[in-house]
Amino acid sequence: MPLQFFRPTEVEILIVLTERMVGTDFPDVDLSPTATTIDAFVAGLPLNLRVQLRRALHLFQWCPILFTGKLRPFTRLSPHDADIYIRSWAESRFGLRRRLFRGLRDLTFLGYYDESATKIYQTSTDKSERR
Amino acid sequence: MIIQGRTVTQDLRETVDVCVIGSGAGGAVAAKELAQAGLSVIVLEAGENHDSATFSRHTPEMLLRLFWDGGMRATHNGSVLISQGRGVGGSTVHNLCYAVRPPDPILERWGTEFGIQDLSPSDLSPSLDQVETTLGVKQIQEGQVNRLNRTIRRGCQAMGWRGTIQRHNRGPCPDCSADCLLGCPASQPGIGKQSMAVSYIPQALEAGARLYTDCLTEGIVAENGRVVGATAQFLSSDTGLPRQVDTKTDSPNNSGGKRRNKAYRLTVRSKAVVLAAGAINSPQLWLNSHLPDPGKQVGRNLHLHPAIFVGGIFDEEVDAYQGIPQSFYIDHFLDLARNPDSGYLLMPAFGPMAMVAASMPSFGREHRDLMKAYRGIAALLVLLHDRSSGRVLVNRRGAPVIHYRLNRVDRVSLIEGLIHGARLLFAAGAKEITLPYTRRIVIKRESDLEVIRQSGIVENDILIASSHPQGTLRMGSDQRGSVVDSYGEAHVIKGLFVADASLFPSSIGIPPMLTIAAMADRIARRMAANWLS
Repeated sequence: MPLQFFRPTEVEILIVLTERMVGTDFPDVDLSPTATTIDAFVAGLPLNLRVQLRRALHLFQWCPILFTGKLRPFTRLSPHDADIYIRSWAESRFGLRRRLFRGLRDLTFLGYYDESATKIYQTSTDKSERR
Repeated sequence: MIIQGRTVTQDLRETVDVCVIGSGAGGAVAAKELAQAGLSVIVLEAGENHDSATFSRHTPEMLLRLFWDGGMRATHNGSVLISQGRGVGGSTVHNLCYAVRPPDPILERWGTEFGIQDLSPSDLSPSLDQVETTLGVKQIQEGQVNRLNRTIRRGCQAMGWRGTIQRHNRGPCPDCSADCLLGCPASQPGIGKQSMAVSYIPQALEAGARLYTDCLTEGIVAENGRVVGATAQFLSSDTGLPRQVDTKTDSPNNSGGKRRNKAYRLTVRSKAVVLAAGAINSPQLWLNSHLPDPGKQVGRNLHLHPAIFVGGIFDEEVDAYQGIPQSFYIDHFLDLARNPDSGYLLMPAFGPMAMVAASMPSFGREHRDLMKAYRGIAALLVLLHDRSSGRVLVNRRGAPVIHYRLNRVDRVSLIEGLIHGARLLFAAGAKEITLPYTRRIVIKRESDLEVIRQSGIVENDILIASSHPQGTLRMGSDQRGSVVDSYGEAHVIKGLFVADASLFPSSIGIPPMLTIAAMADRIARRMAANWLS
């Protein structure tokens, strides 16, 4: 499906962000449909929210140098460094950074957990998987 | 008759007795009562007219269809997420059908403290009876109580607390699930959720009311201290949003000139306006219309019933997803006779996976491991009867800006509620408690609960949600401390009535739908009686 709001470069950020936020370790899971779902959702939001989300995504992409000292955008960080970077937002003493973390996190959940392929947890009866 | 705004291709004019803005718990009731009294009525609704058969199980799609701002409406600093219904039926389309009568101490307090006349429990009782009959309110039967609610009740009984199975406005719900939060696909008269969309609105239309959907009210017009109508804009046919044009790309000759899409408008002349757009949009509309506000009370006194999710992970499968999501609740900590302005409810809570995921802490593998327990999670909400008071303002574009901060007393109450909720879940057999902090805190036994006090309630550190904004155009006898009188009419603008949760002089402390509807019924009957006399 054609993108309705995000640009391809932004979708790349969304996919990496979803991988890290959801903690997916299913190698055969294609997160493109998740990104498409998120894109369609954001396209339906009022203009001010769309603009805020786009800004938040770019801020997240380009701030590793500020908060981790890494001279790379978020999408080029190793998984380990990406998780450290995300945690720095989640546990920041600045409310704005925590807010942005939660907003982006929940956006990826909205896309990911809406996909029927990932409703594995809903139908799984394998208790060994459960904590 | 329903006119879909997104299909309108010309400016329209209407002249009627009453223009009702909003079609939720207040507007639908007012429209029906006024139309049945013989008045000519139009209803303006910003959202769509839902066909419940088209309700899907896709959370993003339904958030966009049923909620303002796709469910992302929040206070100005993002600390409280506010869900408000949009579309015919308003929040009654997505709420979970608690049909609770207003507590007597609250009504009595509103009478004594705010000087509201004729609103004692016995005064309001006929309207409550009428609303309950129309909505088909019934006691939930034991066989309808799902495993989630039974689990919460088990914990409540083990703690020795007070809790009861409630009454609902719903008919038979054979396939009910947590997706009830995204609209009931079975909803039709007598079956499934009895929202305003399948009860009051059809009766209003039958009595001659005309309903405009996809029609965003922009202003209320008053002249010489009297309301004379309203203006509205029809929304775009493809997005349902106000028509917007990117002026950089939509110049007619690509020369950078600006062009604005034609937004077809509706101009209404009416002798009365009933404002029932909810406690955020109603004051927004008042402020955008530059109506007088001599007491500087418009938009103030906002209460939110802030709520926090407490999850318990069980060894057994609770399958909280299945069945009626909320039927039981615990009012042990809401003693309004002794403490009329404090306390909280504990009520079962669950939702589709995306919503539960948002209520879990942390991210990545840690979060995923919690989600693996989805079928074994039972959860509840701590719903606060808040003393904290906020304010609705508008920005330069006319959009609402919602200011609200929890005061110290309320933060302490919420912490106490979280601890009580966690103790209840442990008593019901939970092995671990999860709370919606940004980081995961591990609570595996009662002795771990102290960590909740240490973590506290910090803005944007813990997810706080609200479904019950109220109080922003409050009733009262004193013009300096209220906006409307005892029958909902504006103190300073004749013919302008308010009939939604904005009316509440203080937090009501319980799910408000029934009270909103009964107050709208009372106001509409008074309007009709005065009109006919």
